[in-house]
Amino acid sequence: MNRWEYLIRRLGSGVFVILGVLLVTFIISRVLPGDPASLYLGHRASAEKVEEVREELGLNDPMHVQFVGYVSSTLRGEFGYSFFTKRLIIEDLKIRFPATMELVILSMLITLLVGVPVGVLGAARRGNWFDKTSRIITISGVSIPVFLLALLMQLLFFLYLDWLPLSGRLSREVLINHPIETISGIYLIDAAISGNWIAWKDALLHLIMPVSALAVYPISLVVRMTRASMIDILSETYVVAARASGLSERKILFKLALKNGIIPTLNVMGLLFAYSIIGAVLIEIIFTWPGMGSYMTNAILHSDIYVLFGVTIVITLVYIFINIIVDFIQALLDPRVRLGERGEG
Amino acid sequence: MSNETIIQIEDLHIEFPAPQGVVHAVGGINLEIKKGQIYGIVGESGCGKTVTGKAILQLVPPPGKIRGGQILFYGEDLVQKSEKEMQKLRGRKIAMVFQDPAAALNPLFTIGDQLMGIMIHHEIAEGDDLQYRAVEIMEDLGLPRPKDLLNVYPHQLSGGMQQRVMIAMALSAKPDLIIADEPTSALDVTIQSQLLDLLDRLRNERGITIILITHDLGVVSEICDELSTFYRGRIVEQGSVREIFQHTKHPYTKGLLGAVPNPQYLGQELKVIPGSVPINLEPIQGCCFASRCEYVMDGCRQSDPPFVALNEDHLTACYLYEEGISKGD
Amino acid sequence: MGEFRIHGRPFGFLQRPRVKPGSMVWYFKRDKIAFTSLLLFLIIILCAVFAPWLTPYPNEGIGEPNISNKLLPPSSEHFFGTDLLGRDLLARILFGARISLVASFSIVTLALVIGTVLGACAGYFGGGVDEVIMRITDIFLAFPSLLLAMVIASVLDPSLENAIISIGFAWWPWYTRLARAQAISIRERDYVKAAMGIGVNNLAIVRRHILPNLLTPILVQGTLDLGSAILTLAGLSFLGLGVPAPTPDWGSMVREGRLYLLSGHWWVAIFPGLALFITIMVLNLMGDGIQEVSNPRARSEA
Repeated sequence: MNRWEYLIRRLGSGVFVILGVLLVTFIISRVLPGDPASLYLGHRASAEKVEEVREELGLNDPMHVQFVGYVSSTLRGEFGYSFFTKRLIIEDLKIRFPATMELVILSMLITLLVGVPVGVLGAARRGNWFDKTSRIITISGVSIPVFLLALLMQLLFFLYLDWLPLSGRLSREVLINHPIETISGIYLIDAAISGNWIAWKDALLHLIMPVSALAVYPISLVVRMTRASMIDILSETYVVAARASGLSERKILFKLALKNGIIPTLNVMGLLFAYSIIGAVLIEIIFTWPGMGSYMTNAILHSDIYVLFGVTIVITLVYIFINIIVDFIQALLDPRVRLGERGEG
Repeated sequence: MSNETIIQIEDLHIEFPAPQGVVHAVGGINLEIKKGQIYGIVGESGCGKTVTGKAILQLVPPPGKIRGGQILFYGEDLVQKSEKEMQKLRGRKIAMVFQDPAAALNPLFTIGDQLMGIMIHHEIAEGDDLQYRAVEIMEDLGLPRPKDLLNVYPHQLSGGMQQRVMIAMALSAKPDLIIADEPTSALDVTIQSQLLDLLDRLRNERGITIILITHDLGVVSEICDELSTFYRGRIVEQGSVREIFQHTKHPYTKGLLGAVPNPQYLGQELKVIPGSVPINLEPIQGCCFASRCEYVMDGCRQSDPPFVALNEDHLTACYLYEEGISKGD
Repeated sequence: MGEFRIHGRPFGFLQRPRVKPGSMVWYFKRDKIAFTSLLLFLIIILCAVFAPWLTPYPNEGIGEPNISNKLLPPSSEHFFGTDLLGRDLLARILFGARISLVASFSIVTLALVIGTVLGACAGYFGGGVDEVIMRITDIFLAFPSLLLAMVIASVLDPSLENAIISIGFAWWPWYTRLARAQAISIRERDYVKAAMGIGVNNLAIVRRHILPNLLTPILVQGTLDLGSAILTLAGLSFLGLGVPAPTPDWGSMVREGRLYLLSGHWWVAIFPGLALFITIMVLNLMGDGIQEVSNPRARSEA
């Protein structure tokens, strides 16, 4: 099958998984103790009011009807109301989603741009001391809890050096005097589009610490994986064969081996993306970043279950989507994945 | 077969540092190959035959290193050459064919990409000419519908076709010498036979010299002109195939031949060489085969038997044949 | 000249990751980094086991407050200082080691057991069983694992057991996949087919042939995951979903200490954080060592 058929197949199974995910969240939400209606209205509400809201929310309908309603409203973005902010969840998400995505996308970009070349170079040069130091450095990167790293950064760059702002996306002064027009919700993009360079610089300064802290784990992982897979590949027979046909080491490294070596790294990008979203939860708390992570933790603290489910579903859908894209890119690169049976001999 | 020497190896030593010490993979071998010959390098796994083949291309896998000796290609010592100089020779003058064709082809690139890539690198052709030549080579090797094959990926082909593609790649820059490392080991018998015929044809039609590295004496008897038997990094017997097969002298070669099932000896027990190949952690004291030889004598363990010429076609290193006189046959 | 044809025997043999106890001991003796990490790991275990005797403040370690000593900086009496309730930080960290080690081990064991059983069955029985199990696994795999752990933890009461359960339930799908792949490859092996041919009962086959061979790579993966287990638990605790006060869990300690970070009392958050870092790193280094042994990357050619 060619690459497009593969994509369609993948989307198909993705849809199936999405339904499954929605089913699981639906079941969990209905299994929970506590009545959503009374939770929303608070303790003081009268029994009638509660019953009214229950009818409104369709909580008395049979389960399969509820599920269908659940699916259709979820897909339309109607996640309900947040008990805490008393606003439509979808409205809250319009601000919070881009905020988190800004962190995640930037950290993923840095990971690829820095991690892969370093990993490749690490495989090409294998001196003994180099191996040992890079092993320790990358394992440190993978072992340090992201919140510890963030706190240490705050101590160093804010408290002691005063180079970077402590928290938030923008400093107060900029927020008031040079507000950013909301186009995508991602400040770096919006500020650039509207030519608001003061705000752009401010947003950038605020991004440095959170994004760096978030990126340490993925970069370390990618360096290790790329290096390991490149080392394996460089001893594969087809690389020896390429050398035997006279190709230069550099050509082999960057033209041939790289394509082969990137594949396991790509595989892991999906997971790293998920990691980043979750890591963002921790980062957002520490840097008071108004994203989905802090939204979610707030929800947990206040038993704001609709928010909890809304955010979970959004994050999971994004994760599924990213996985599909990663699989597709892998199919583009690796013909063995998409072509089914062997051709005739 | 001309009289010109294409490869001459003199006193080659190859070592591999290992955690337990230094492994002497090849401990001083000498051989001479004439242009147009099909030369067999025979031995069990671990005897140093493969690494010798790779050494010719200066592709001894690290951490292994060539520690002494010369490898002369048309009189020029390859051991002394720089990496850049070797890159010009590899593929262009000397090419290599590998045991597992599926592994030797890059799974992510089409056959056409890989084949033409070599030709581009060695500046054999360019533009439209590239495709034309690629198709020509594949046709010559008996590959069906070569034009279509250019866009196909390795895993879509059968083993036999992969083998031919690999050979096509080796031939693409028109080398003088092909080193074939266990080319038949991963194939079934019918394909083996086709492959051997192909190699023979290449030698006859194009005058390509072939070094055939194998553990399979049957293959050697089919197409080789001369051979060297390797054991533990040393050559124990060397000469023309006819001589060695008909008048086998060295106990190891005898053992190898004796272990081949022969319908003539139906019902009799298969003769096996007792023991297994030890690793060379220190330089070997005495004869390398002493520990497993059924004709072993005291002198064998003391010192290394010299390489003795029994006649102009046949040399062996064994105390049984000192001064060319056989002490037991 | 006679006809000396022999069937060519293919050279390739399966390179399965295989841990030979002998080679592991040899490797760990040789590689200084792996050896040091093993040593440190033993020290950490000793700290955890002998915690009550290693500190002059065992009660504070468990949680008893001593408000008069609140927020003292590191000194000769309190090497790591004291926390917001006056408890000696070093003592808390030592006791916290117990929680971390026990928890990580339990998490991995839980995920491993569930995952392996499901995966082995899926791989061995195939067909409908396989489909059902794998579909469920796929759905669980669709959730980012920490997210799932967070959701599960948030609906359960905060406690150590529930934290372990949350993470274990989020992790089992990976083991299922691994176990299934292994089971499938083992099922095709000749000795299994022979057993099936004789008529040995399916469950006995799973028990006697499949599980032992399956377990090695899975156990290797399990040891690799120990570090991540502590990391994940720390994350949950930091969010407040893990172990509740006054139990000395390193993640929760960082959470509590964070409030005092910027006012100059950095030790309350940083020392537990460093404890986490070092422990996780030691576990990862050891896991790395085990991986090197079972999957040697320097291949020697014949």
